Amino acid sequence: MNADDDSAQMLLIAGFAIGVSIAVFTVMLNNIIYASNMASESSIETSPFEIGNVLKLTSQAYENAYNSAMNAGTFDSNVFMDYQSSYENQLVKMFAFSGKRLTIENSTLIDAYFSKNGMINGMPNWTLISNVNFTDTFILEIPKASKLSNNSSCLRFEAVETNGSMLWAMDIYDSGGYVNVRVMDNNSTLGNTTSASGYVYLNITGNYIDGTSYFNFHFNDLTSSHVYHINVINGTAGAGIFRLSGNHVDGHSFNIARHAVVLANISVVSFDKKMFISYPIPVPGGIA
Amino acid sequence: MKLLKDEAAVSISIGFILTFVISVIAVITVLTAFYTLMDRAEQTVMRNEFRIHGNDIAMRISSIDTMISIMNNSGASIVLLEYDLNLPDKIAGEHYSVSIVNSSQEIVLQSNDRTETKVMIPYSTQNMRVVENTIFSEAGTHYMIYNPTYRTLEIR
Repeated sequence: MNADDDSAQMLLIAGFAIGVSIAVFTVMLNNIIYASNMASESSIETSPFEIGNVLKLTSQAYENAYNSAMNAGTFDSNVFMDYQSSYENQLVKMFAFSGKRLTIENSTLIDAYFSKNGMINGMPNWTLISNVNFTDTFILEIPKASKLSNNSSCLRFEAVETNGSMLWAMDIYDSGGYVNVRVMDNNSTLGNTTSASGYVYLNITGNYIDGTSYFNFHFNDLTSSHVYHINVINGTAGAGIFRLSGNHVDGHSFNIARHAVVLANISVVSFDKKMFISYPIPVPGGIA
Repeated sequence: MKLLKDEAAVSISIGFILTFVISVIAVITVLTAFYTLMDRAEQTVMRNEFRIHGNDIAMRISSIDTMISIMNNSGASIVLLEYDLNLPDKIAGEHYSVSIVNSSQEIVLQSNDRTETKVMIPYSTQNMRVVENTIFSEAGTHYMIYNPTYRTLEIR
């Protein structure tokens, strides 16, 4: 190699290397800028499960509020309202942390229909309890015959075996201001009775009406040693109270009741969302 | 024979013209290729952004559908449900449209009716129907509104 050679090969090679480096650097920088400008994360603020949790929590809180209010035997509306407002305060704080404003407006106790959510516009045909092995208590109370529909498309309770065959059914309807009850098996009418007034108390498992009058509902003998569901048909065709307890086929017990409905109007507002939900909660509920 | 022995090649002026023309053609070719590449890069950016926003809308639709299912099962009813749909005014410097195609259950995003930028994102609903509609990014704020009476979701 000639030390006096000044034809600048090294200079040319260095220049070329710098040029390539600049080109590579530019391409990399361009990719970084491009990637960082993409709308990478979508701001999904709609969490359906959050609302589901609120509904479940509210339902549980209202059931507890009702049970607390009934501790003394009669309904204490002050206890009920205090419990509700305490729950609401806690829930509002929870939501405030995530930038949402939540409010709950409560109603007073409303007469419950036998629909799924207890409202007159609720789902009329539904399953009250599934996979029942034994029913210990089945009590219905109809406070007013005027809240029942007449014979056509009347309120019906039925026990249906898990394979779909009907074991027992009972129609309840208004007949000239009196409550009429008709009991059937899968192919014929087994009995018929009419209440002495517009009010009726039916103890279906105890086989009596209005305290002491005997009436065979045939529920126990037609459902014993079967696994069945208890369904409500045309639940919007009547308002009243029910109590039901017994055992599931897996051995777990159930104890459910419905005395009334409380309407919780829940509104959730955040920077990009407005939601207003009307949520009827049958109370006191229970364990199904 | 004279031509074979002539080593003078072209004259200086012809040589200059040839060099100049070749240089111009080369520059034009490089520029054209560069602009084509730039255009393609712009469309690629648009499609990628459209996919992101389309998927965002599809996920919101799915999320609202799940929420309605939860409401139905719990016996609650939605009286009002309204979401702001925040979409950028322009993507890669261009306005664009978002269309709901109900028959194929797809969200179609495209810019200026150019098929090169068209992106189709599928969505799925079980408990409601999404109203067929087209919105334009230049229109400002957009909303997703659920109609509980008809069980429809409208994007407008």
